[in-house]
Amino acid sequence: MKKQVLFLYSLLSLIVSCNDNSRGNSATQTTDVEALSGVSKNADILEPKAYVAWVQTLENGLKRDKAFEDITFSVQYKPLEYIVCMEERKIRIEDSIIKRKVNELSDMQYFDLKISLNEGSGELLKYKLSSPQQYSERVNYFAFGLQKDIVLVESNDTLPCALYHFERAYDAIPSSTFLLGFSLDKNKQSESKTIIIYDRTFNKGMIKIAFDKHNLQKIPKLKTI
Amino acid sequence: MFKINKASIVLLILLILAIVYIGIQAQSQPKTGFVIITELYNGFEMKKEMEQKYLGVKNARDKILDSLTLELKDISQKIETEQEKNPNTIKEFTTKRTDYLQRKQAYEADNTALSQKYDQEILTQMNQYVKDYGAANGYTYVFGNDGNGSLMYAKDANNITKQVIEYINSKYKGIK
Repeated sequence: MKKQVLFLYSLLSLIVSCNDNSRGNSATQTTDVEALSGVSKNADILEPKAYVAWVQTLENGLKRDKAFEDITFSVQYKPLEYIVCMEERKIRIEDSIIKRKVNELSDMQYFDLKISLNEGSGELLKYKLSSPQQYSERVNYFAFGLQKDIVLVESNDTLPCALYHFERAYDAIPSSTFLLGFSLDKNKQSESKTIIIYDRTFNKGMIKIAFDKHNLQKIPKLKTI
Repeated sequence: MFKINKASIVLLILLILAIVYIGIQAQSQPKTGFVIITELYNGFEMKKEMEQKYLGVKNARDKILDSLTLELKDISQKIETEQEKNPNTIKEFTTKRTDYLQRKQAYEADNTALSQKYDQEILTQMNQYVKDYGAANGYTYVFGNDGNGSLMYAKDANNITKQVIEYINSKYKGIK
């Protein structure tokens, strides 16, 4: 009987160890994927391409989504170095260029807001239109009015949207992108932030998208030459 | 090494069968839970915020109507005390009363429309977040108990209202 118990115990241990191994394999795969993409969760200094990928990776918390059945609101926090990388589009960027451009941008904090249709195609502005007149009202609202319906809450401060630009996509893609800028208090740069959008167009109401301070504090540095 | 005898093999087969049976049972039983809708609605942060916003608008409108009522009362008293009725005062009263009635009607209609708009927005977000909760936690069904008899009985253990309120509030705040 003792032998039987021992045998069963060994069998169970084998099953458990196999399970552990499979977990280990998946962890190794994740590391491999990270190595391939050049993005590591623990990276401190990254090349421009890897830096951009890191900022755009959902898991790193600088890009946040709020999805409804038909529409998704997505906000990308844009560190200043990220903006420079996107402008320069080079494999390596000189330190002087980074410093100069970051300095030019440093009085504000920047975000991209993207509103997209989850299914279907066509222009977002034409989605569920009740009249042709409503289309021009929407174009006008997206171009000018929405700015007043967006704020950034940082600590106890509510900041109005100081910089706003609507990138119209026409029928090319079923989404619209807005470039947003808010004044920056350098002491609160790495504080938790919440973007609040009051959606009047698609009747979703108050949309809140938060950026945790822990994610803002772990942004890697950009490798320069 | 030790020898594997018949008893061990039988025991092993029984063990495997038991594991398979438990696995199938667990998969075939749908995970269900229910929420008390009024509790969920009242506990939803967005509802509280929109209620405050609505009350702000409504109170501002009420104040305008109150001051118009007061003005009307003043003019009315003035007319009553006048020995010889001044036609200008009466005209002023009539104009202000018309303005008051028009405003009151417009405000009431706007308040109803605003309340309905906010309710719609709250329900859109609440429903979406409950769906997200169900999907994230592997529920097959999440029932809503609204006291109209659609859910007559459910074990208290399946009441997930508290957990869902916590989840939908995190979702609303944009944390999750």
